[in-house]
Amino acid sequence: MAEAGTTEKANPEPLESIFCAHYERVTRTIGRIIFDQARAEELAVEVFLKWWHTPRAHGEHAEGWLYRTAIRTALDERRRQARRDRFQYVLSVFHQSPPTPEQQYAVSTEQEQVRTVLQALERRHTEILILWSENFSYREIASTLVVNLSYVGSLISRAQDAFREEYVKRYGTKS
Amino acid sequence: MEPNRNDFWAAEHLALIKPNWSPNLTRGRASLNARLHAHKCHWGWLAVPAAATALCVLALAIPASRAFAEDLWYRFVLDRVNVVQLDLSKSPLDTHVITNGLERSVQNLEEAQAQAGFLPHLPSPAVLPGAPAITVTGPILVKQTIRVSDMKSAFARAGTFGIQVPDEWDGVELRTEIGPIVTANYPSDVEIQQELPMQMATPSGFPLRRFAKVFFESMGVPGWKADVMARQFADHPAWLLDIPPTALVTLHELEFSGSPAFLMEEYDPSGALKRATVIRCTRERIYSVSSPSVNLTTQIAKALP
Repeated sequence: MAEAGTTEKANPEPLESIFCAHYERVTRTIGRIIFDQARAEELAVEVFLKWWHTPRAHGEHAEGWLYRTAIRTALDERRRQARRDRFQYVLSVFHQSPPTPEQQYAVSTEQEQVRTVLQALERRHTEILILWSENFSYREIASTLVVNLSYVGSLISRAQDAFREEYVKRYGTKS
Repeated sequence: MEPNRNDFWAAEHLALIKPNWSPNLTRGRASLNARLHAHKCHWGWLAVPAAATALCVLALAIPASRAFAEDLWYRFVLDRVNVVQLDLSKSPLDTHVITNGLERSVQNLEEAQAQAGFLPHLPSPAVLPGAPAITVTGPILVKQTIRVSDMKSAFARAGTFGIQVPDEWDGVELRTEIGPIVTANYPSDVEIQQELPMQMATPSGFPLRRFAKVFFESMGVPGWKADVMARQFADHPAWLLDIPPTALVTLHELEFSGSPAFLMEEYDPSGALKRATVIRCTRERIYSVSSPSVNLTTQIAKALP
């Protein structure tokens, strides 16, 4: 909380500029994992606020920190959502609204299967696949995940293998 | 670098989750500004329900206050689960959930114990390898208030007439304390949740059995069956696990080391198993073990003390 107090008094210009430069891409990155646009936008704002309250994340590594945190925040949110769904189902004292047609549709589609597989993979594999699919360059991936540039190709390849293996294990080879 | 054989396959599948919307920068900026200025108030607001719950627990913990509390409330320990073929989301009770709303990540079991007030049990690495991410949630206080008019409306919806709901029940509050809940998430998509038995409190002298019968009838249960269910509930109050008729779920009763358990299998619309969950109650703990495999789930549930 002490950090929050310090940054709140500081000039918010750096927050403004990094927000304008990265908000859309951060939100899209989160949107690959979280179905709902409004929630993805809320989470993106949370990521920027977290960055603002974390002075050690400022400076030259700010961008990498933002995208790593965005993916982790989205995965955590998805896990929380799944837990909340199970929890609400089990603890019937909570009044649960019937699923909307959109939710029912989402659950039955391949998008949901892809997200489920990404959730089940090792977090590093998921991070690489999300960044790669969001057209990050090898250099950007290396910088975001703090890995050597020369390893990025093989890391992507391993993540792809893990993704396909897990997908086929869960849903077969139909797709 | 040469594309490997999975390159196109992965790209094709990952393209499926590309958002079909564009982020709204104006809305994002407005939200950011609002959150920046509201940040300080946020914590204060969260602290209110937490403090209220703490006061409630504190009042019961101090011996001098305990007798007073018992004068006002009669407390039941919910250490068993009962399955009902109802959709309790349509319950006519006015439900209000109070929690600090925060899921706290902890580094190890000792820290979880400090936060939750009990030492979580986890299976040995031989049964379930990997290091779990552990979080602590709650406690959660659920207040359910009886609204006589809502209950009468529920009877009308259920097509049941002639049942009396005493006017003096209006505004009566039932409380259930849940948690703290410790959750362990393993890399293999296994989740173990556990908590101490829940506690329900009703105002002293409140006719629980009579109310339970009226409640079940308001949910459309025939009178004779509502009477049986109400008697069971009043004799040994249970956490009611409802299975709505439309749910794609099968349920099996099990027993592990003398303690009852339920295996719940959830299916997707194509008939494929989505998730298997075992809910197991012991005298000291309620467990929920969940994974994509029935065998794995039951093995883990069996391995818990």
